[in-house]
Amino acid sequence: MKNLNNYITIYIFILILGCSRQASVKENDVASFKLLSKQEQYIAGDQILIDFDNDITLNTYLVINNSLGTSAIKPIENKKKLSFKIPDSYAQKSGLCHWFLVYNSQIQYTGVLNLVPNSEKEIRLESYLGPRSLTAGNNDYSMFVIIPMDIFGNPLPDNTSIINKVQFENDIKETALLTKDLISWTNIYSPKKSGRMLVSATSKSTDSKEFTTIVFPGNATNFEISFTRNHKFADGNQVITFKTTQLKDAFGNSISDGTLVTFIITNSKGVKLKAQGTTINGIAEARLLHPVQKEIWEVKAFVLGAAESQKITLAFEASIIDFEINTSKNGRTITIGPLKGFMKQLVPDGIPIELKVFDTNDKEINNFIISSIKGKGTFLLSQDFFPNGNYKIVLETAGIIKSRTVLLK
Amino acid sequence: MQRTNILLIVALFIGVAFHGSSIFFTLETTYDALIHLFFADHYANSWFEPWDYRWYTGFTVQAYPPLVHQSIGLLSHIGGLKFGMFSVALIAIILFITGAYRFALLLTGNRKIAGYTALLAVFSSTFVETLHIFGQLPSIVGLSVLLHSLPEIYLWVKTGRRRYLFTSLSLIAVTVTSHHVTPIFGMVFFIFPLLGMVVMDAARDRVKTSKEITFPVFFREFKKLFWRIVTFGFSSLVLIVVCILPYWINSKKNPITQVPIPHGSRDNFLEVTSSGLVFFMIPWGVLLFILPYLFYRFFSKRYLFFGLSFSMLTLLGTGGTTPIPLKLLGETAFNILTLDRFTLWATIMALPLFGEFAYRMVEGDLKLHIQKRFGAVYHRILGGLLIGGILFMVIFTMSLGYFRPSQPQKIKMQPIINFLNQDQHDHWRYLPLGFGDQMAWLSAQTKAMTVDGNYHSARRLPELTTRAIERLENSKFRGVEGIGSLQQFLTVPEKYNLKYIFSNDKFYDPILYFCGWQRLQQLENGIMVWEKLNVPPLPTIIPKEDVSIVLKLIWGIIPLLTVVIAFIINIQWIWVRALNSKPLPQGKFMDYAISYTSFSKRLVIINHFWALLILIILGFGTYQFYVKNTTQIAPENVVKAYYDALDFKEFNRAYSYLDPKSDKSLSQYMLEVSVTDGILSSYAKLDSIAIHFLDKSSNSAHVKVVTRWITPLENIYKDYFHTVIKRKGKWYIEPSNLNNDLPPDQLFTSNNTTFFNHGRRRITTQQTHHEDVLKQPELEVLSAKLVQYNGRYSIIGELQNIDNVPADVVVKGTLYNNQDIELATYSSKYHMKHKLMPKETTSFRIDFEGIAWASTKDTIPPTFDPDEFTPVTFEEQPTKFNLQCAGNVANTDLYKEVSLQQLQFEEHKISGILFNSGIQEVTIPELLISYYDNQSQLIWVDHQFMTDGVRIQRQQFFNYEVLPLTEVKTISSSLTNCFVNGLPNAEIGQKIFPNRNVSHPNSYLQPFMGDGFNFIKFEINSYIGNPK
Repeated sequence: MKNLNNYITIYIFILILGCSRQASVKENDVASFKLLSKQEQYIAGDQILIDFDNDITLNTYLVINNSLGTSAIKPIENKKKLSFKIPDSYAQKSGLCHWFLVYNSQIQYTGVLNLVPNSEKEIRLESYLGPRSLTAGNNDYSMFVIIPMDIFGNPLPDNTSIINKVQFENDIKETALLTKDLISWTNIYSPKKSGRMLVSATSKSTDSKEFTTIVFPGNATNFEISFTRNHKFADGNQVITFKTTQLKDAFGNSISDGTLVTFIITNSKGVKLKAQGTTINGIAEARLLHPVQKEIWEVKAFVLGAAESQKITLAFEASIIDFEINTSKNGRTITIGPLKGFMKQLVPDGIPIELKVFDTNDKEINNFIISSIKGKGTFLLSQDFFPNGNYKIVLETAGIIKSRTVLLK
Repeated sequence: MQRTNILLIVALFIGVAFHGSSIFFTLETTYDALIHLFFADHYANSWFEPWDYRWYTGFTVQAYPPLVHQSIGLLSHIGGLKFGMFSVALIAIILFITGAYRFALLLTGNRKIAGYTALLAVFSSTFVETLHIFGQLPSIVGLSVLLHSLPEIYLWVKTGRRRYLFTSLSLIAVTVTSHHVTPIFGMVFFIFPLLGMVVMDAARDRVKTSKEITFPVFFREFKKLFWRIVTFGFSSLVLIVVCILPYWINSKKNPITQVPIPHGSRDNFLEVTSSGLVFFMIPWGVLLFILPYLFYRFFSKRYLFFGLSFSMLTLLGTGGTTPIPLKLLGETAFNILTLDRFTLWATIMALPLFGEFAYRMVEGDLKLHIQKRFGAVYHRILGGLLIGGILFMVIFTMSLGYFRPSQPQKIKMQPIINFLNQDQHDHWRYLPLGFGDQMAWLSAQTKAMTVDGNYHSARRLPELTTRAIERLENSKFRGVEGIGSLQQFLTVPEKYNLKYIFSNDKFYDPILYFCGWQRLQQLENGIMVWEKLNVPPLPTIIPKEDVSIVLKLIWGIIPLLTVVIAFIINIQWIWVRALNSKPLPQGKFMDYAISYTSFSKRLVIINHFWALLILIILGFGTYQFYVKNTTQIAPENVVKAYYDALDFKEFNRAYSYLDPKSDKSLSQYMLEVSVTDGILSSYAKLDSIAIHFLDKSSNSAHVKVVTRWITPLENIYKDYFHTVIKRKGKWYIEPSNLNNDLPPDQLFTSNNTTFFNHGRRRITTQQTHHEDVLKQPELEVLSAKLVQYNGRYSIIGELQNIDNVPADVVVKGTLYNNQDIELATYSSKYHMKHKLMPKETTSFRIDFEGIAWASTKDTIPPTFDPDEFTPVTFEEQPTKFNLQCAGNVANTDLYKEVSLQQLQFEEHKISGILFNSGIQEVTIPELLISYYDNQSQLIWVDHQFMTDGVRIQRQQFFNYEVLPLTEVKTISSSLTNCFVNGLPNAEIGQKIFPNRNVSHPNSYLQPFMGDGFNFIKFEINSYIGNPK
């Protein structure tokens, strides 16, 4: 029980302590402060001390404010002087730095420091080039921005001179620039030739790093197309290649690799077929299969919105001119072929052959599509599905249509 | 001192040896274990902070009682997370076996029977399944501790000694903190009947024979014990509320307002036999054969209340087989609860009586009875059958995960974790696909976040909660709905800062490509990483739902405290007494043991008939299974079997259904299969199949097979035609002919421009220097329109890459009403080419799907179908739109070498072939079809995925049915609000493409007189499954 009482006493003591104010300060508003350090101009990075002839350190703060922000600093006692050391982050920042001496929440004294950039020591160049790619032709430009700075990152004063260098092919151009409103900038216009431009800047023996901007060729101009094919026959089995001449922009640059060229092929029925290719070194190729029947193609190529080719016309002659139909005795096995090509050779496998079966009322009952093997195609009309009787069969291959009547037995 | 029970020791010994060693091979592939591991990882890293950012764009772990997770988390500091998990699993095994022992002792008052029960508990198929297949650790711990608490509750009510109140409450508290559903339903199904039994026992004390227990006697005793019951009931209620108070608060704050997720336990077990097997046959196992005995015993007077509870549990466990559970539970509870737990409780409740049965069978009156009546041999055979049955069920259940794995192969996570840690990849969200429950293990090992998650009750995004999908990761198993939901996330990944996808299932590849994703790299564990350009990184500060510190403290302290308290109260007590050599008091329930002298004759007969019935049903089921799967007895069967074989890529089996007299050899068939590629053969799952007979005779038939396939892109309907013939009583399919087209060239060359982007050239962890950032390619929108068609709004248009480098294009459209209020935002999905070469154009269409709309609730239909849009019934109609296009330099998927040939027009149909002239095999070609009016103005954009791929230098036929477009209504057509890379479209066009020849596009248009349109244009988008 005695212990408990002790605890209670201690507890109450702590409670009272906790409630009391930390320390009461005598209100002494009449303290007078006199500024001892009169210097107002500094170079960024200098040590800056602001002294007052008072030694009241309690509740005395120096509030400083510059473009970076605002801080309150505590004094350091210095032989009966009240001394404030401006922290590095403020002392290294050029521009105006306002200060307010605050005592007991009252502003006692204000002042302003003017910090100038430290251009004596080595300088730095903050530079930026953009965009990093241009289109050839004196119209497009990249903007090169250079900000000369001291080692603390403060922009140097206006009219600091900068040499801007631009390399393109064998040519290196130098231009002199002056800073204005803390920065200097220039527009670098694209040359007429495509390629790679290197850009740099120098100021007071400090050099920037190397910047690159790619000069892409401009839009394509009209071009010509041609085709190559193995033969002129519509066998459906050879590849015809369309090819452009080298696509160039208005200044004679070969256009960018990978540019899409679309070949629009209009056939004799007016239907538009399509093939496309991407350019390499300005030349695009696209491939199509030969048609399976006699055709005339009109071909024109486009780089959409920019360029087009002339129209070329090419004709395909029929490869398969005719075919034979043989039916077995009971009429149920129908053999087509041999399908022969332009040299009387058996056509390569895979020529589609379509069979349509009609009843006597001309109603389509069924249709089959097979592809030829060794020049031939065989259809089997099974008794399960085609009862004995007369049927009309229509066969189509390579655009040739033949029909006949068969008697299934 | 209580006698040591040798059977219990044996049970513990075998149980720990058997389960303890096999968990290392099973637990990690169970459904739930890794989820608990993820939660444990959360606690291991931030014990008191309930918010976890890693799943579902942030969720609270207060959505699940924490004890088991916290224990694993705590133990993980010793030997890692998995060590923690296995340790807790071992503890759970011991708790369960001893719990079953004590429960049996309570019920029967016979140590021998309790010993038998403990032994049977080790091998009970329900326990094996819950542990080794489901991995429900918290549930097992909760239930086991509940079983331990039952004797204490009995003793409190019976004797009124306060010590027992404390022991029982301490155990209830542990139960509550380990699993929430167990104590709540445990109250109803275990504790209520237990209280009934206590009162019954008290009443028994008043009278001479149990027959004299009448209702008045019972009621009098009930009144006497009433206050003890109330004290216990009220205190445990307080515990249930207080111990996991944050859980209840969270449930109240975030009620489960989700669309119910289908669960097998709610199926009709007769229809869905796989669910019947997993949720009924396996848990019941051998118990099924002695159901009459169980019911007979449970409905004896002492166990009457347990009998009622047991019947109820049995009934509820049958899920959707009968409509009764639905009516009993009500729609909401039925759809939230997984009903398998009722079966679990029923089978656990039956264990003591099964033990009793075993005891009587092995050394009791039943043995004598059978031996006397049927002979000793019969008794042995019967015993052997029972033991054989138990062993069969155990082995069957254990091997289920081996033969029918529920999870994909174990994935090595280290490469993924390394990838996420490299180069600030964890500044974006990621999404695993095809990981199964292993996604939880991945999440546990990384700080990176995902939009998905594996504890669906905690989902928060309306995009997820309004769908019946468990996870995006396995969305293909949720059919159309799952795929639709996944597509929504893939189409607007910017919304979720989702940049990386880890794909373990190539099924999803096509949709990733067509939504504009690109392959980044294949990790060394075979996982393909996909990325999306133009996705902003996660903000540094992500919102969270904070809870008060008090709740955090409760959550962090109370659960483990309950264990400590329970340990002190229960175990230490026994030790102290044991050390003092004071005998522990014998449980009062020991007084009510009955002697087993005469086994009911009638019951033996009934049970025999019952067992026979079960056997007949099983036999019938097996026979049905056989008949259904006999593949060649009818034309339908053989066609179905053939497509089934194709669906599962069992080509040998498929070949066996082909006409043996045809000249196609197996090697020829396999060769033909190996060269077919395309969405149907590589990325589709057969969803339904219907067979129509075109002709049929006794020996042959022509059939039309109408199939519906689920693919990652959309449902594909395709008709096939086959001839089937009968040979020697078996039906076969005539093999169909392969297109034997020969490509022209044996060897040929192809020149192409390829691109490479270094990404970061400087090896640094700093922010990317601006010299490494490429300029965004310039695009120009050539036309854009807001149109209404079939009741839905779309933005359509055309744009061109006018830059000199290939561009990856994202087009985002926003709809506004007349008051300039934003109504919906969405991006273009697969109605565009996402990768454009310089100067290439694409048509695009933006459809505003479900989540696009500002008020999601109004627009999502109850059953979501990505092919089906809800007509928007807004009072405020969209009248204006804004289009934001963004280009980023692309360097992959730039294959353009597919040509369009042999076009033929019919009235409503266009046919033609695609010819692949390059050197990459195009797996899925997509046709983009643009429609134009007589002024050559774009009016609609349509698409068609082709079902077969185009091989190199080969052709592929296609048919396209043109749409009737008289209904298309143009609402607004303007380029004023179109922006490219944030800049106005018009200015860019003027500057970069000043002298555009506007007549060019017309040269691309095909004249075609259709319903409401005059021209048509085809564009081709090629997906390459295996780029070389």
